[in-house]
Amino acid sequence: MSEFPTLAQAASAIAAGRLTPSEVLEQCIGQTEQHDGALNAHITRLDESARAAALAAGKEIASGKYRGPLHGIPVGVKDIFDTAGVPTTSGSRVDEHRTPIRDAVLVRRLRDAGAILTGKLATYEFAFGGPSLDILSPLAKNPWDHTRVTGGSSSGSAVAVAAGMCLGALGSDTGGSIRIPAGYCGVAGLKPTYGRLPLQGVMPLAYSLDTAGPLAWTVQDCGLMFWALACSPVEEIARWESARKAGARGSRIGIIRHFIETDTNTAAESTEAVSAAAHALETSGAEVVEISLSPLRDYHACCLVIMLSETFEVHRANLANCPELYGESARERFVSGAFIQASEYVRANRVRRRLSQEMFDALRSCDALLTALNVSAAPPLAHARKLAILEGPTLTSPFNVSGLPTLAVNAGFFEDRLPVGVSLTGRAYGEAELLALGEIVETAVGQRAKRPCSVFGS
Amino acid sequence: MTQEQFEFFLRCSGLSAERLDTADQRRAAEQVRDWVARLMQIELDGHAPAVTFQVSFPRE
Repeated sequence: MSEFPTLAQAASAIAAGRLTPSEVLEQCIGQTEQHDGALNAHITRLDESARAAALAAGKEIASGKYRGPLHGIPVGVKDIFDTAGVPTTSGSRVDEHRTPIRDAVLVRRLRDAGAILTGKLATYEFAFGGPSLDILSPLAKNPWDHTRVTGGSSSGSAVAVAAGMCLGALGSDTGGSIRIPAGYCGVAGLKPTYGRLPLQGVMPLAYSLDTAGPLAWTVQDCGLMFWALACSPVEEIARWESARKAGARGSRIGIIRHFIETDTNTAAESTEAVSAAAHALETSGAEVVEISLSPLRDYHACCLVIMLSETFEVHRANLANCPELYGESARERFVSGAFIQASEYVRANRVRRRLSQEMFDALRSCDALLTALNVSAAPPLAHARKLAILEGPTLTSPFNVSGLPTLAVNAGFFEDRLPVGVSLTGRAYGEAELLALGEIVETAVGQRAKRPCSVFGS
Repeated sequence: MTQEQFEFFLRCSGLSAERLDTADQRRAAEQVRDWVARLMQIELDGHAPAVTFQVSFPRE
């Protein structure tokens, strides 16, 4: 166990009266105070309102009104989620002066669960461009190595969690934006089933692909956040607890090897992480089989055409009126949607049905699908290309195409210093079972006691 | 993609070619058209239906 508490550990200590919300918050604010100047995880800090909320939470808990595991827990929110009275910029000059009057539904749910909002976190511009140096906020830095990319677009969420500035964070995922930075920054991230969490008050990227979900240090922490975000009934949480106790015995896991062996140039560290995860699941009683889907490029083509078409519709007016307000990377990606015709968008949606169906079919005989999360550990920032998403397929987009819940799990470290993750996908609405399987992998190979040295010391 | 085609697409979408015509934007447009070409090669079974706006799953 690391000395800095996980969300679950802090929740348990707060519930037992061993820690107050204010004490937990001050630990996180201390981390922010000390490291945010270098890491740029925040666009807006909310120290004072967080202190007041933590004090109020402490009094409420002391009076016997404990709301549940998020009560008194410091969480950060990606800056595309509306927060009443607090600027919500989407990391863009276009929305630099935008202050919403009400909270996004998910922000409201976090507050209702008793969570303490610590700040608005860095995002690639409108959850899509980047990494960019020409947008409203400075580039968030990877706490494991400042010269490496954080991944995006929920960059600030992953960095803030990895650096202990909050114990959980809200992110969004349209083509991999929770999972990619979770993998590069060594945290856990859950992209829930499409449509499961409401998106009112969240800046859209692509309506039919957008999802929101938690990032946290462990899979269990993600689960605790997710149940609060989903307002889940006790029966479902009980199903999760029972799946956690059951282990993987009797489960069948399908490895999608061709995604990493022939469809991409996946580095050894990522393929080895998949093997280690498969071994961990086998050891826990699962049967592991190889499955085959359509080529990764088919999924990526489908995802890109839908994403670019829909996002162009979101930004068309601003691209016509004030294109100069966008950073180069976001502008070029958004404008790309102008080069897709309506008939091609319809075709992509027909292809989407076919590709999704084959994944649903695979999950009739398997309980989860396992593959690599990223093609390598975090690459150097100097190698980042502004149009990378158009150059080659990502390993994350197939699961946005199908809408199935997918979990990013840490599976160790490359050269003992850069985190490497794996991707686990479950059945629609099967978050309880998926989280339980993810925890098995994380416990066996995830090295949760190891925190970034630049922030926590060696 | 020819210069005429590039400008045509932008004009059709109400965008200003003067403000957006850069080498990188043209390269991005060409890459997108490559992905569209890939998409069009994927075989579909007759009139396979589309996923409609809301992808929804029956809850069990």
